[in-house]
Amino acid sequence: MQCSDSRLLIHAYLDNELDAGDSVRLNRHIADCPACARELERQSLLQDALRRAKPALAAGDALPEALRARILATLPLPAAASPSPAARAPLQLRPRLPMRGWNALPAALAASALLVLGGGFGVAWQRHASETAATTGAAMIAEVVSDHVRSLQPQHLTDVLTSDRHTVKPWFDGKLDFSPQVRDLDAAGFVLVGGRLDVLHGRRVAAIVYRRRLHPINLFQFAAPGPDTTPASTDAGDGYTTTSWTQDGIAYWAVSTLDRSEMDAFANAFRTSPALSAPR
Amino acid sequence: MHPASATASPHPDPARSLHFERDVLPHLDAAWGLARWLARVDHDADDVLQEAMLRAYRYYDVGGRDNVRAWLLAIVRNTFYTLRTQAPVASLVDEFDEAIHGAGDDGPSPESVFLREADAQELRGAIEQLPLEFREVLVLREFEECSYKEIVDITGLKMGTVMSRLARARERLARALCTAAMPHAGGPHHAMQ
Repeated sequence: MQCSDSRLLIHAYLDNELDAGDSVRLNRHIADCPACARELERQSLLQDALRRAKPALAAGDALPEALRARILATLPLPAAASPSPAARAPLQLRPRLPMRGWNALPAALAASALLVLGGGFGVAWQRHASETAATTGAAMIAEVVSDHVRSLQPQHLTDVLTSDRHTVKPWFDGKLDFSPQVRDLDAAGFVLVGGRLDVLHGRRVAAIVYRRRLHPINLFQFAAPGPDTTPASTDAGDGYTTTSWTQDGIAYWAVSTLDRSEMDAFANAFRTSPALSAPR
Repeated sequence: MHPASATASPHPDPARSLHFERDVLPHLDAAWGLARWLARVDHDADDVLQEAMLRAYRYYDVGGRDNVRAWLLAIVRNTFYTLRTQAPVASLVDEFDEAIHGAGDDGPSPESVFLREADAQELRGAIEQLPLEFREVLVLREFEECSYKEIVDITGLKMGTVMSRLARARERLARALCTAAMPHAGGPHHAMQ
């Protein structure tokens, strides 16, 4: 082996990129060539120095939060504040705080995503809470559909899986700042499947899951002080339908692959069913 | 609204955005690291990263690649070269220099001491002084922890070129650190050249 080859292979050797045959040849050359042996030692020292310095260099190179927020704001990411599906724990019947999904994202990303939404969770919450469900922004529709699609991944649909509304409603106790509505719609042909906590556009929401034939329906609920509004269903594209209304200080967003007439029927059935008065 | 064709419309495709968020955004810090090392100036690195992420979103193909990180780093690199005002300086791309590598003295190695003691600040300065062509392969290898194959994919260089540039980069880096550490002790050092 020539020294010129050796000087290349030394690096591949240090990088664990050298195959067994070349490693043997390099070793033989090093044994006979003090200059190349010195170079190997020198490069090994340099590598050590780089590895040692890496944490300090990486810290100095951390992505500034303002820039991260700016980038997230320029990308059309309706779900930027939601936990990713990979981050969701495949749990059933176990309480799950919605923020747990953030664990898999860098905390800073989570923080800046909230920043985008208005400077922090509290601010975001207040701002959104002041909006009524009837502010049917395209972004909200997109996010509702996105959340629906995500919830349909295996084991993501429900955390509490039961057809008994008396089980679903108490399960939310203490997890939200309002009391979500769980109503028996069997008579109208909508079967209660269960519920889960979720994050929608940066706020904690309850997701109550119903089913009509084979179509799951996600009914998102969050506190929304303001006057009642009547349901308005929208074709959200790709076969999804959303409908939203406000009733008694709660905003409702329903989404499914049912058509608009069936979603209207669902919304009306829910609105006219008696509220569950006395959870067990 | 038809999300499937909405990449350029104000209404994004939620499923696609979701995939982008899940698959690409986790590599945002790596992208910044590369942008920062290439551009060296934060203000320029900002522009590179913002433009790169927009490009990434535009070209993102759900499930279309198995190494999203390398793909994103390649976009960052290409964006950097595009935005760079001055053309790449060809004269900086030396061929592998046998003169540097072929010789060496067998005496004691005072420079080893300086390599052992090199701190983060000295290393940063020395790396930033490397010509771009050497800096990028070094940064991809040492800080982005890319394999040689990934560096080939990201840069479009040949494997042999990647290896020789990496060797040159480290050789220059070692020399720069030693020169900085012992400005008046160039004798044994220059004997190598």
